[in-house]
Amino acid sequence: MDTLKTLMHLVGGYRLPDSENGSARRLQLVALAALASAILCAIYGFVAGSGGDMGMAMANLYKMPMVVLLSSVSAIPAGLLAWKLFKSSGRWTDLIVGTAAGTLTGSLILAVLSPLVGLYYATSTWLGPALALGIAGTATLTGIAILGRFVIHGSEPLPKDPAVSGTIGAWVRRLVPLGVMATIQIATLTQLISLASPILYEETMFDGGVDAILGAE
Amino acid sequence: MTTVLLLWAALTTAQATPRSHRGVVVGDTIVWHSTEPNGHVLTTEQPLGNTHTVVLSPPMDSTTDPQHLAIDGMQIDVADPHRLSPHVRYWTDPRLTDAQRRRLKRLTRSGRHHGVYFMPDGAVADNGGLRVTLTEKGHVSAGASMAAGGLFIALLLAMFALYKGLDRSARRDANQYYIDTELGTDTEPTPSQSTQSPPMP
Repeated sequence: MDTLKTLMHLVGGYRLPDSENGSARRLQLVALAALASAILCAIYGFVAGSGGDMGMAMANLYKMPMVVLLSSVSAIPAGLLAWKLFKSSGRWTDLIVGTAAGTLTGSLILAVLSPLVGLYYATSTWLGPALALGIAGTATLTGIAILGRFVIHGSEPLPKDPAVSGTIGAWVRRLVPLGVMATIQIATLTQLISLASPILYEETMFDGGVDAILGAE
Repeated sequence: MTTVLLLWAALTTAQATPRSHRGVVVGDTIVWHSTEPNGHVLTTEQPLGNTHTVVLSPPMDSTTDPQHLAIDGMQIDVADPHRLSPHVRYWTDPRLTDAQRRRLKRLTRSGRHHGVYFMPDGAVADNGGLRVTLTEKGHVSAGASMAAGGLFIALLLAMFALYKGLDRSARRDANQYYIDTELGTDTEPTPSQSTQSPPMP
């Protein structure tokens, strides 16, 4: 129960309490958040795949966590490199903990709204798929926003007013790695969805990857 | 346990992944039911990759009201609908109005829920029908899917190992934090602190 309570510190991307802010504990929370995210995404994947047959729903138990976790992890190296190149302030683990916080929060959104997706999938061929896609998009954007919040207000909060002399550079240096990570994550997510498709019963523009989105297919 | 998980992931990934080649599948057929304008239902077997003309009701030209446009009586039965790509290409036929293009896109999308899969090539046939080409969806290599599945399993195991491996260090840090904060405030002042005199005003 204590572990769950500790994990909830990450949801929302707020600053960790001092008692949980040691290096080992932070990395431990990252691992725990990744495992919890996998379970939460699996719940959504199962429900979203239930619009097709049971085989698709069962396959989604690992497809959905795979897509979410691999896209999150793949963004970390580029983010760390940008953090180093721009000499960003704060701890380097802020990027990793922020990614875990964003992924966990996004996965929670998927899981708590999955009953709604299941209900609409069973009762509406028109709104069900759109709802499933919309919730997934919302979770992705929320996850990236939470990553941003944690990076900005992480272990060393930045001044609230970026216009204060001398702090604009600090803001930019911390936001650049964030932008790099968000870009890499979305780019990876797009192709991983294509790789893992079909996830939803309906064909979507994401099934064909970037080729289909840009109309090159 | 790990082996079972890896095997399961590889098997399901391979099953869900379309074949890696692109283009026409020779010898693979679909059953095609088409309602002719005279009401007769035509059932034929056609190989994938052939171009067919779908009966539109009414036959389409630039004067056809898009709101009344419907794809009539077409159904394709396939064993594995996900092998076919219903990707709607851009509608390039100059005879179509924008409203007709939008309507046709909507029609082809709505057909997916009922197992109707087709790939319009953006042109209207001379008889006012819609030309469609059925192709196999196949741009994803099975190797990439299996690699992603393997990476995912490895990631989960690594996260679990990381969590267990850092347990002792995290406990040590927590104890140190407790000593530094809780115990530090309750302990008696050191002799050097107690003998210091307060600053003079």
